[in-house]
Amino acid sequence: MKLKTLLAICLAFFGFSKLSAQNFEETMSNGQIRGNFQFDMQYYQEDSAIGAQQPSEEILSNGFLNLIYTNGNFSTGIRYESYQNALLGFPNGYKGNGLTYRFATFKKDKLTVTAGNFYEQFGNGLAFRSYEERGLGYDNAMDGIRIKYELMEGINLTGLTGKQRIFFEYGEGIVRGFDADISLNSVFKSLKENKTKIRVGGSAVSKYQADQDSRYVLPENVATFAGRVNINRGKINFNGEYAYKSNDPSGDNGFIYKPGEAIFLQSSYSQKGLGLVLSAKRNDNMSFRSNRTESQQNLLINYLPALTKQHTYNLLATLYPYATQLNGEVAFQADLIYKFKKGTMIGGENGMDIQINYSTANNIDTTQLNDENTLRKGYKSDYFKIGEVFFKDFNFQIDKKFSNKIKGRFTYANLVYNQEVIAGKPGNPTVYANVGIADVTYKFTMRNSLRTEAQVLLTEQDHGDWATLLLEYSYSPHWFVAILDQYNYGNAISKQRVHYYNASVGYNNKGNRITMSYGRQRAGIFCVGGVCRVVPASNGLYLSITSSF
Amino acid sequence: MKIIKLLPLLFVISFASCDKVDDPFPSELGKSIFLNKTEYIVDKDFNVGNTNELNTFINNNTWTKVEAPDNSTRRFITLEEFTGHKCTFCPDGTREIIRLSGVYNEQLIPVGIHAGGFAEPKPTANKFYTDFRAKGGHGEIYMTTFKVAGFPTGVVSRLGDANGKNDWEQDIISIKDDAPSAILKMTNHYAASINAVRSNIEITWLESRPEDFNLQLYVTEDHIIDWQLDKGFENPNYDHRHVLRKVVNDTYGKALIKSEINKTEKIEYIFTVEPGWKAQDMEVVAFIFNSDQTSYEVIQANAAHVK
Repeated sequence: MKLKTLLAICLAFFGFSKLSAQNFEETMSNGQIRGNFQFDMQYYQEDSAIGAQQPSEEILSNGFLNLIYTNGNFSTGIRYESYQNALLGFPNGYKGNGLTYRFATFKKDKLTVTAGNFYEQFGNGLAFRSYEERGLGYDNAMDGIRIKYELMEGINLTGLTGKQRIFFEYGEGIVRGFDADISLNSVFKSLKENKTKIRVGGSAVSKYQADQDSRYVLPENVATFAGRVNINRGKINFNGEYAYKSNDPSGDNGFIYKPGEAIFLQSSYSQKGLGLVLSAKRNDNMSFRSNRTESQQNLLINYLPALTKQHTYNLLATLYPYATQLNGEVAFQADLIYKFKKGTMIGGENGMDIQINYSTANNIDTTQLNDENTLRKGYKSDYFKIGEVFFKDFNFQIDKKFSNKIKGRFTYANLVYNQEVIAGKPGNPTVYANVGIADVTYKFTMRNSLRTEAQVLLTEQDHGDWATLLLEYSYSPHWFVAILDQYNYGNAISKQRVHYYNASVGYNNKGNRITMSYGRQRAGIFCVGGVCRVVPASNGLYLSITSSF
Repeated sequence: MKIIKLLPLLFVISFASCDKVDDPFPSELGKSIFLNKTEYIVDKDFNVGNTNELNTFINNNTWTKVEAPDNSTRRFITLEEFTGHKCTFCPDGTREIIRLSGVYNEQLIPVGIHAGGFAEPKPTANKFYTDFRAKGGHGEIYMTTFKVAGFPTGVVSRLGDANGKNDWEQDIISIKDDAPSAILKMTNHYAASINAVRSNIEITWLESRPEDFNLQLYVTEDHIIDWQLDKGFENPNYDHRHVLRKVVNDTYGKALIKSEINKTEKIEYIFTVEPGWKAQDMEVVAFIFNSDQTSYEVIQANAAHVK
């Protein structure tokens, strides 16, 4: 009853005041509630062999529940989060319980208004991206007002203002933004039938943070401006965006007053059985936060996409993944996907897919100005030169179905990983690694299958060679059980040649999934899209429950 | 289509939310204290906030006193030279200044502003490691303001943009006989024990002028022996002259009250100097200039040693 009363008030507020009791019931019956839930809990054991510690709480947990009510052009929702306390590796700021996300939004004609929390992205995100990546503990949700307006067919405007979430609080800076997205083919009659489709866009985002620094005169208002274009014709697509940020001295850049800039270019070609994507990016001093003294992943206003492949296999994904360098990087990526047809010499009876990827990230070229006591511009940078290597990854992946019972995926990767910069380990040598992975699934019957994953990582640097073996038996559609061992057999220190064993069991049923595992977890880095968090070594019992409706 | 024309307007509004900082360092000056018809502006480091504290500060320290020359009948002239220790032809500019000083004596007040790429130090090298640039980035701002296109260049009493050494004397001659618009009287007091200077300025207007004027205070240091590239020769014992060490009252100085004939304005700056600077070679340079950014012309100046 209370919920109904609340919704009635909301509906009245948003213009449904003329509803009679009967109409109200009818309107309510059109409403829909959906949501999802996740709970992760781990019991930690001390394990000196891998450096795993037992926290004072012994058991830690993360959980959340999303609820969204939609009724026609109106929707509202909440998210409850609980960290008792947060699992190891998550930022310490996640501690306690609370409603961390609540919003109401309505659409009337061409106007859409959101009050409360929202996520938003302008273009590729170089100027603004508010999003959540739960696995990273990353959430820079806005709390404020967002207005979207379709000015005319093909012109969409977005304006927003608010503060950004940081754990259970909000950052002290205020963020204001405006974006215009224009389809030229819709706006200009002469282009309506043209096969070349062009979209242009522009955004301006500024932040306000009071200057309370006694050392420097800090700009209280800092703005980023971005312009973008997307051109599509048949199988070819081009996407480009350039962003410029005014002087923004911060902890990230050592309080220098150099403006920042970023450019992102991506072109692609696709047809049946073939896809090619070429990308390039350069960012220079483009860390943009609503609190100039924050670090790590806190209160970032913009997003600088990583031009590296997002690997999923354990050794590749968590030992040496790339983290975007906000202060400056030049990156390139080429991605080719090709499908060998059935019946061809290479494709064989069932065809074969191959994916070849190459990515590289370097520092920008910089020349120090030694002006820390004068203008504090910090350095100058030649746009067309590149600096030291941060990261290189050449990899290919072959997917092959050998028969109705056996299919496999085979991966090779060659990595160059600058530990000093990416992992923040001064004095540690650059890692040169070769990785080979065979992922083979054998299907006994329609419901029974066994998946085997064998991985090896060979390197003379860091912790040396690693091997992983996984056996996963699935009894579809509900059950799976798996055992895994990772072995650091090539570690130069014999005591650290440790097995990381793990056993897990899971149950799926419609929208519910329960997983339980026991064993060791290797210390590593977990990254999504170039944004990373460090995961410490642990040992213990892990339980995960997810559900959606 | 009319609506599309509004889009740039929205961007302009967004542009307004952007602060460009030219000088990263906050002013070291504290709030004004008025005592005996004089406005005292005291460096924050001295923690002087009222007249009692000011009297105590002055009375509790021992001060030596130096007076600047009388300029009641002559227009004194500034020559702000842009230079750098890695600028191979800049010593030619300094030699020209030394020659001009021999001709015009105290009427010409030279200031060597080290700025730009030639002035960048090499902190880790075994030569050219000294940073002669005044803290706060003022030199670079002046370079932009006076459109410095090459080195050495200089601007005489801020008569337009900076020009080459061969034009300096012509500019001096063009104004050296002008009747002054104001008398700029300066008396410096120095307390060695606390590295403090009290620079007392008394401006008496000799005519009423429609323009607005600012007062600028510099500290220079003479005879700094250090590395200089001189026509290709790397001289470790070069005599650097009249080096701008400190811009006392921010990049463009302090606004003066409206000029009115026979009216007097008294201002005293109390500020610190670095312990490593040689007091006997330090001068305080003060000048009055047109605050209109299309002009900046210096109409009167003076200089006196600190000690």
